Amino acid sequence: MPRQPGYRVLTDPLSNMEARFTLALGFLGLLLGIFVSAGVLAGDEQGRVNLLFLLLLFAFLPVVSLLLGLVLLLVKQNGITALLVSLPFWPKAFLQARMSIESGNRRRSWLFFESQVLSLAFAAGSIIVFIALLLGTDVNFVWRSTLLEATDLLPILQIISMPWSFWNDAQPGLDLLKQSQNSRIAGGVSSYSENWWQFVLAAQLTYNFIPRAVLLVLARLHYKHKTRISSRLERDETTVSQRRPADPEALATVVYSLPDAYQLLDWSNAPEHCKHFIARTFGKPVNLATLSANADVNSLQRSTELLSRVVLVKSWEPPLGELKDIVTLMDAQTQNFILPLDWNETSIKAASPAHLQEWRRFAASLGAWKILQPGEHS
Amino acid sequence: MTPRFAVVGHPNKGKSSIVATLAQNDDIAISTRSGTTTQCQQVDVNIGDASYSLIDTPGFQRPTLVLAWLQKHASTADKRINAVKAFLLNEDCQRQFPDEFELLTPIMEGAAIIYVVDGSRPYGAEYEAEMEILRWTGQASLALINPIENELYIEQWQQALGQFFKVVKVFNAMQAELDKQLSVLESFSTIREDWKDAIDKLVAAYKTRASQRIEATAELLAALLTKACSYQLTQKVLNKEQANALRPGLETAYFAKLKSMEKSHHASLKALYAYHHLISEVENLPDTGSLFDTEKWIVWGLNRKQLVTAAAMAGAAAGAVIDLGLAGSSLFLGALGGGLIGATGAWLGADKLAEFKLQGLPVGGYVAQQGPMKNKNFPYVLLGRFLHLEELLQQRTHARRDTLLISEGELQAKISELNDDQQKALHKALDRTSRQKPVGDFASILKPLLLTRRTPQNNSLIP
Repeated sequence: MPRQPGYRVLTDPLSNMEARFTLALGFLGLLLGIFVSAGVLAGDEQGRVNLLFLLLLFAFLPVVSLLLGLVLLLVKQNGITALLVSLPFWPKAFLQARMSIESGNRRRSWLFFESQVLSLAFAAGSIIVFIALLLGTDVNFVWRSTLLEATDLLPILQIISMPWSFWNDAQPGLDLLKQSQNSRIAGGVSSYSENWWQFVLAAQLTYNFIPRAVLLVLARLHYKHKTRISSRLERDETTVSQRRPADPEALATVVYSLPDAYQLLDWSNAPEHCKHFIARTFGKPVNLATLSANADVNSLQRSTELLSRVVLVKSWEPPLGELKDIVTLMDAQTQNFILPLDWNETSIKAASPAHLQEWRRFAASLGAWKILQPGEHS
Repeated sequence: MTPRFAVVGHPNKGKSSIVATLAQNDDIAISTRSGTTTQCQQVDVNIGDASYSLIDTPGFQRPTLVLAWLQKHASTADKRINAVKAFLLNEDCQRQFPDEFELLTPIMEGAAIIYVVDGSRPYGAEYEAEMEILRWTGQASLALINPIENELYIEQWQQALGQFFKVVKVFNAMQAELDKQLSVLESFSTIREDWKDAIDKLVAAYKTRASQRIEATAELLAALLTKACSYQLTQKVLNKEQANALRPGLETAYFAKLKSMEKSHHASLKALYAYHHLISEVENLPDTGSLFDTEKWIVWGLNRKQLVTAAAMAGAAAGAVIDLGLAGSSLFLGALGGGLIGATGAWLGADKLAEFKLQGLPVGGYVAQQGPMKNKNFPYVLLGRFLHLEELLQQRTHARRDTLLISEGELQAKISELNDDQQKALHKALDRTSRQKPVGDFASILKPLLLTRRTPQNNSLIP
């Protein structure tokens, strides 16, 4: 029988609709990143960009949103992505696919994955705009504060820049800070203020792009894991070695009476009431002997030449090889019968159809042997 | 070390059935013809990181003569194992006693013995020769009494087997549940101490798989309900006449798709439980349209009264959210109103089916639409049928080869076994599904239903 296909994952994690949605969300994130970043990097009317705003956008907010996302995942609450996917502007086909995803227990996993796509695309958009502006314009980085001095800010920036301490050009310095401080009272901007770009890029990569990329990979793995529970069950394989198919059946004839006097050979160690039943049904045997695997067939046959021979067996026990060995030694000139009977302590009956079938097959394999059964009137 | 078990015994006493049940796989052939098995059949079972092998062996055919041969070659007990080894090396023996040669080979290679007898038939002295041979092998062994037809002679067998085997268990291959199956394996961890770790790992893997199956079943059910309830079929047409002409065909295709959707999920469920050849028949629903015959739905889903109660609960649960938002200042009118609206909607909509709609297109022409299913009972019907199939699969073993008849289930009884919160969540989720709204963590809401009818013993499988 051909094996049916096994249990499959309900929805392929990369099914078309899901992939298209991921792409759409990524595109949305990219656009958001481009516009927001372009807005902030445009600076004031003189093209000056506030360094502290950049740090807020590229370091502080990404870290806060990342932590918030993880907390929401742990407390099982909806975030911005859940809100986004539930907006009604998505195509109908996606809304149907979303129902399938949300119905399973991988909803949170899926939402977390999609939120990483959104965030990573946002980070990528920001970086692209940043690099494009660096290439195409002269970005002037300044910072302004009423309360903070360069000496106050330096330790904070040094902590922020710790992860890329190996990158000397991207480290903040007191001179650089002082030179890029912009005060409307003091006026003027230092000519060195563009040197901040490495620090800003490093901050973007460290606090936004790289963590989101790592989380995206982890979220993808987790989502795959969730969708693969079923396929894991499928992998619990059972290997079954093959067997030779059974040969076609040949069945011996069933008779309900005996033609003449007979010898009864008891292979089953049958109780007395069983033998009485046989005597009543088929007539008293001329000779009664016990048949065993070690029996001397010649001596059994010598005492009963030219008699019909009936071998009494337990119908419920299948025929064994040792019975076959011994009955095949018997004289084929006489009429030979196997009598399978079904008995317990109180009653005796004919073999059940399934057992009878078994014994008929066995008798057919012996040649001219027949099956004897008590008739309906017995 | 991978545990190996040789399942041995008289022909036709359920050896293959026991292998199929323990391996939980219906690929294993079970023949009613004795003597057809002349070779061992090894079944390698891999569950997660754990594995073991079951060896289905030919039945003893000439035990008296084999024992006589062995007795001739071993005068004392210390020589018995060597006598069995000599038997396997002797070419005459291989030729004269092929079945015994075949079945003793894996045992002498280290496989533990599972000896199988039929407890529905009286004990016979002819079994003693084969039990004695097994004792001579010196391998770890246990005996299983498989009551094929009845349990009349179990006690008789227990008394006899107890003299040859340390452990004797009654094991019905057609009915044995997982804990019973595992107890067979666990017995060997006391007999074969070197297998203890492997068997513990195996038992843990079986339990993990059982709970994973429940998770996967809940997901499958959630997917079926969501897909079937939101399914709609559309076709663009030029005019209303064309739409009307198309309507019967669209209806037929729509209902056929729903049926095939259900069928494929049922097939997935069977495959999930490793039933690859199981044929099932759904009773009472022989005709194409009968699944959608609202009067017949009661058999599987809820009757009108139950449905109204369920809708009231779902409505009240939704209304309660408003009450919560208003910090109770609504005097719980949200829950009351929601309940009333839900109940009325269910009462009026009990006979509704999927509707046929025709919508004009801005660029000209129309869209003919069949579905989605509006009837509130529809998700309950699908749920009832799926749960009933799952329950039957749970009660079944892989040794059975009969057709599975899916008759009437008792959905309401199952639902009433859930606690109030679970019931509310379920009704609310099904109500949302019937309105084609997404349900968050639907599978988790459905999961308690899959645990309701498990016995306390089986519940222990769920971590």
